[in-house]
Amino acid sequence: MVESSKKVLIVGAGMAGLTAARELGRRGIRTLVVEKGRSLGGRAASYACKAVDGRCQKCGACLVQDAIREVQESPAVEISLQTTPVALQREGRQIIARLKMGEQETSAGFSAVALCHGFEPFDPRKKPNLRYDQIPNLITGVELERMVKEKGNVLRPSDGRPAKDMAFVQCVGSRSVSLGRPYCSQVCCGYALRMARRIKTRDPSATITFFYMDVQTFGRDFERMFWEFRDAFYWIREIPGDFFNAAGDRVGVVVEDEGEITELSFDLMVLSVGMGPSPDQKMFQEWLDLRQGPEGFLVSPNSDGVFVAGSGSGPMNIPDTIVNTRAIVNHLTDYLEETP
Amino acid sequence: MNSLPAEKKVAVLGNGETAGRVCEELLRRRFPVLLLMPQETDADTVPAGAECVRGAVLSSVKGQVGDFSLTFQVDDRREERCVDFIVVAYECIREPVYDVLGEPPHDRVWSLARFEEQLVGTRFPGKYRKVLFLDRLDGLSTVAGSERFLNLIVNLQEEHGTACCFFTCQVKVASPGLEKLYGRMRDGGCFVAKTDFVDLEVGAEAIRARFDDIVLDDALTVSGDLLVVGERERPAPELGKLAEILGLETDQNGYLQGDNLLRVPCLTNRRGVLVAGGSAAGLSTWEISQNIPSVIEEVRNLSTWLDEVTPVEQIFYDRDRCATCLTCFRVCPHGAIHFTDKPHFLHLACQRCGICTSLCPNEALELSGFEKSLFFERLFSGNPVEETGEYPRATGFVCQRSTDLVRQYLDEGNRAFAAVRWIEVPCAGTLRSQYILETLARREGAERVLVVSCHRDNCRSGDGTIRAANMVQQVKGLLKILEMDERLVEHIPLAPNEGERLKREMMRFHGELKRAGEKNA
Repeated sequence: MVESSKKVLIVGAGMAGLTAARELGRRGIRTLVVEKGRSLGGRAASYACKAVDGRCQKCGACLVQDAIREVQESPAVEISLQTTPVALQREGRQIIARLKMGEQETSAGFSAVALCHGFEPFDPRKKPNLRYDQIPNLITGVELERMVKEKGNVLRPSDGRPAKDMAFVQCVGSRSVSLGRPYCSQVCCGYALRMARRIKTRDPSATITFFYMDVQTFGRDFERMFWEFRDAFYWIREIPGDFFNAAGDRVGVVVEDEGEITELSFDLMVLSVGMGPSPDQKMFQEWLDLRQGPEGFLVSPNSDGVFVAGSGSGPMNIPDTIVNTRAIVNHLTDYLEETP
Repeated sequence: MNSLPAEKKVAVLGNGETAGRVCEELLRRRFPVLLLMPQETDADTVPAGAECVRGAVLSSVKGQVGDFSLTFQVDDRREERCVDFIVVAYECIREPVYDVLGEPPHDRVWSLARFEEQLVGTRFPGKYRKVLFLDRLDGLSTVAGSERFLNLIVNLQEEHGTACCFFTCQVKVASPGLEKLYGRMRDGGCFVAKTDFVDLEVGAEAIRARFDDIVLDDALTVSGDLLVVGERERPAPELGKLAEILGLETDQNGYLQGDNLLRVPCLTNRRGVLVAGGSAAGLSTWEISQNIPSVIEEVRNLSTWLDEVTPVEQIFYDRDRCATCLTCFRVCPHGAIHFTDKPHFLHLACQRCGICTSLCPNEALELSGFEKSLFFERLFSGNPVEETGEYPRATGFVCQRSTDLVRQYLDEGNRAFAAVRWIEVPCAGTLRSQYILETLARREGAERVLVVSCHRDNCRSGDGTIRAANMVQQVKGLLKILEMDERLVEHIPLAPNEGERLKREMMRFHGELKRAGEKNA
């Protein structure tokens, strides 16, 4: 058992931070969770439930609410919102943290720190050919999640009318050496296809097209679902090059079909943006001398009191974030038990 | 001073690498381990310090978390041991996908496993200068399979200068490092043929493959000296029997974990029984590297929980009403009921879903805290329903996983929520149709009933949601026979992050309620 004098600093209250606090809390290990935002849950809290006909599609978005509830009830967890670390430093067997909350700065020592700072979705402005700012009905998967969660259906930003004929563009900001993102974001096929299925089930008259490279396997029922997906949607094995605003504020794209260049247009297009490293990781790297992996995310040292959990260490979906964080907490517990 | 908690013993079931690694990790954390190996294996695969029984075939498991009693057969001997937790750590099996050939395997057709074996042993025959690799062409290939192909091809190209061609339909790269490996493989000269159909001709001298290349949009032919086919991950055949003995739910593929979001990552429907590696699913290297520490983490959690928990009676049993029909024993999703001449309730295994109480045909069971006499008294504090009386009221039974949402809207003073008497239930599966009918009867038809449950496959007790949905359908059927309005009872499946949706549903419901009130007035 770990002595109660030990306390762990958790940076970030998204899925990873909450999972770390919950796991350590179950063991009676005290934690301080600092979150720069105003609420708990991080990005996962803005994602929609994708259940279809009362049946869960295992996207995991609801799990963040379960974690929030348990963490709030745990006597071992202390939460500080709108708080950011302004310095982290190893000092002997301790991590000294300077924390800023509003104008106030405090300093405290911790036995270990778990960096759960999460990821940054790809900013489509970095690909000028998408003309993301000029085309009103071209949105990102993140924006679609929020819209479905808040409004319950899919509306065109230009006129608020329901989108009947929509398309998803996969691998935006993933699998691209030229963008410096030489990795598959792992989550996008899952979130886009589950979302598309949810939309199609509620409005069978909607048509949905997928522009894609390769469909990634996800979930236990992929074998069954894959055939359903193939029949329910149109599939074009190409990522369009040029995007433009077509008549009626439709989103136009140029594609090559059997050697011919053709134009297609949709009521609404959704960019399945990939996951990238959080800009916050630079500070952590400097403060704690951390290493970046080949994909540009932080590598968890799992030693000297420093741990990285969740999507700060690589692209992962919500269930995988839980698995990864639990694995990291297991190492963290070892460290606490081995440290006098 | 408190004495140190007793050591917790873990039984690990399995023969392979996963079982070995789980044992090592447990032993490192000073958990005594009983390793039950179903087959005889080499001595060096057994981690030092584990009590190992070779050739042990599990025949029964009794008891509950903290006190499982395992009976197993070794040769013709019967043995028994007690442990606190059980980890099932069988490997999945891999079957070569020969289907595409339409004939039995040929000398020049190898499985991925055979090829890997030859290569590791550096017995790779240099005579094969050009090798064709065939993954599944139906799009259902997996990361676990894909990473093996990519690693092999890169190794062959770089170490042996072999020319490679990879047939695949969907390249699976959703795992750390795989996209880079895929790039390296292509830079190394591998021809990637994306296709969903290959016509293979396996000759004595060479293999010819004709296919339609999806990317090049052209019919092509390539030839090679050897064809390597991919494999399909499948659960070990023993898992079916183990599921029966351990009382575990399985997923659609037969792995020992239901397709239920709340089982992530290593939980089963039985507290204290965990699944690792290939017993849970066909996992990739990265997934296994995460899965094993995650299992250890759960053992530690359970261990702390066992030290702190005080067993209390969860189910009240009325012997006089019991007809020993075994219904409770059959329906308990958590293996928490043991039956002799009467049911015995295992209080540490019970997860308080109340399903046994709602399905007992003789009403012999009650869930503590949810006794029938108290059932209708379980109003939320702060629920203002008693003061607002201007229109017909409704009763909402809400699963405790979603009560926070309801409370939040009540606190905000939302009138649609305030018009409902909210009653918290541990799981929607606790509800009996009788409670619904009684609720309706009390208010002489003006009252409506809402049942808010979780979504299917997202219920801690597995089928609580299904039972709630069925129960609502039954009541609707009865109302129809009585020529009453079926809409008097309504089921809303809800996830705890669907607050906005619940609010929209409640606005609609409130509107209907008001209209019904005006009509009656």
